Amino acid sequence: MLRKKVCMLGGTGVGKTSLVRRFVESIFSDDYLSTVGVKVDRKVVALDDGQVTLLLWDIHGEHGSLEVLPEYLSGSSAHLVVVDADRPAETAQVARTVLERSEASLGPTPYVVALNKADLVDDWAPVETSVTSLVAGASAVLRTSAKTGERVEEAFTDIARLVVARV
Amino acid sequence: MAQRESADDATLDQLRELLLHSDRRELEELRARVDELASLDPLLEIEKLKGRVRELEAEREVALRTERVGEVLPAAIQRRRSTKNDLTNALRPDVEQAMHDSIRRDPQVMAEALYPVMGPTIRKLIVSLFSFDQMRPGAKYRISNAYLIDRRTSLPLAVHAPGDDALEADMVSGMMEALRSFVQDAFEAKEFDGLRDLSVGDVNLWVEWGPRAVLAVVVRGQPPDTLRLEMQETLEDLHREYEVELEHFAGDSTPFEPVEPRLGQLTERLADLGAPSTIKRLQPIIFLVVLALVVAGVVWLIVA
Repeated sequence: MLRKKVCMLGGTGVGKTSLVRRFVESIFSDDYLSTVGVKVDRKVVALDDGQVTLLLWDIHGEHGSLEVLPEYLSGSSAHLVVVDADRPAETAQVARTVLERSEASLGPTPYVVALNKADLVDDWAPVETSVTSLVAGASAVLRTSAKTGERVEEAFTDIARLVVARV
Repeated sequence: MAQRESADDATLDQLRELLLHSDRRELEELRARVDELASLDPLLEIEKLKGRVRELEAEREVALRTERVGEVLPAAIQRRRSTKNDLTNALRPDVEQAMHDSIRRDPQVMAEALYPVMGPTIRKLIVSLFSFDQMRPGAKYRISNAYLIDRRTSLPLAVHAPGDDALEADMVSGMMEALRSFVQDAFEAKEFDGLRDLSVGDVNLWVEWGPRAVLAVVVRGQPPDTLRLEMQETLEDLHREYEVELEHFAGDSTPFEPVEPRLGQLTERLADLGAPSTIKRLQPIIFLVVLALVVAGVVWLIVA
């Protein structure tokens, strides 16, 4: 059986937990996010040539100088970076900080950007520097909405393809 | 005569100096004050006083406003929260920064504050990670689950666990490793210094470290130290036999399938160690039988 570790990264309140809550299998309570700082969930994704089990590490939102433990990112095959479409510049900047730290300790890791809360924003074109540079390094960018379910499955499938291609 | 007169003058001067010294100092001070007042511009002084009055009024106004806001602040926050949820977002950066600063300055303060929250959560997590069958009657402990986990990815390589635990082993392995990192970080423990076991009540998580993989077993009850030895030997054997597979592990656990029955054997072997042997269990009965025979013998001798 093929399993891959994937980290969900992004600032506080961008909707990482909501994305996970509706679309993956959970056995642990969300309480662990605020205490231990992490919750591990599972998503089995079927691809054309078999299936892969993604172990999603939902890591507490980074804000200011509260840092993510580097051990939590260790061994991640890819990151799902979540940005809030309603406040893109700020949340993209937080995501970039975490990515830079991850790269410094673990080397480059491919990532998919989910521009979440797409239901709140009609139109979006990246103009902010923090967003454009985040998007430039991404393997894929999707406008998602945990609320309506828009393109959430697709985001996990993109991640699955990405990690399988790296075997 | 003239000499006498001048001598008298000198004496008189001394006397005057002695008698009028304090009066003269007072006079000098008054003169200085009069000079000072004469040099003052009355208009400027009035302006200065007005300025001071304004300052005092402003201070009073701030105090008054603070008091008035203070009176309505709790109600205002409650009301705002019930209609719009922007307060939390507005306050969050400051609260987080304050918490961070507090932790930096004195981690003990925050640790004490969080202790009642963290303790139960960690306990709940450990207990929820594993389900237990009934303990074997007479056994001092029971091993329910055994996990071989890749250190780098926290993914399970092989698992021996009953029912649902096996299906959820991947999430459990991750959470177990996350918890370990968390506890290690929180207590600033070095990797090989400690964290070879986490205990909650009679549930123990025993962990043995290898360079690439971790062997974790979940034990209920009090296992003997021989369990450590068995675990170390098993882990060393696995590192030797699966050297290449461990080095190249990238999420595919297929090469480690033969490890699963071995983890099962390990738990079985240890379970046997834990159960009291038949002879041990029969010991009191044997003792009683021997005692009865001795008593019977003695009685027979006396009677005879």
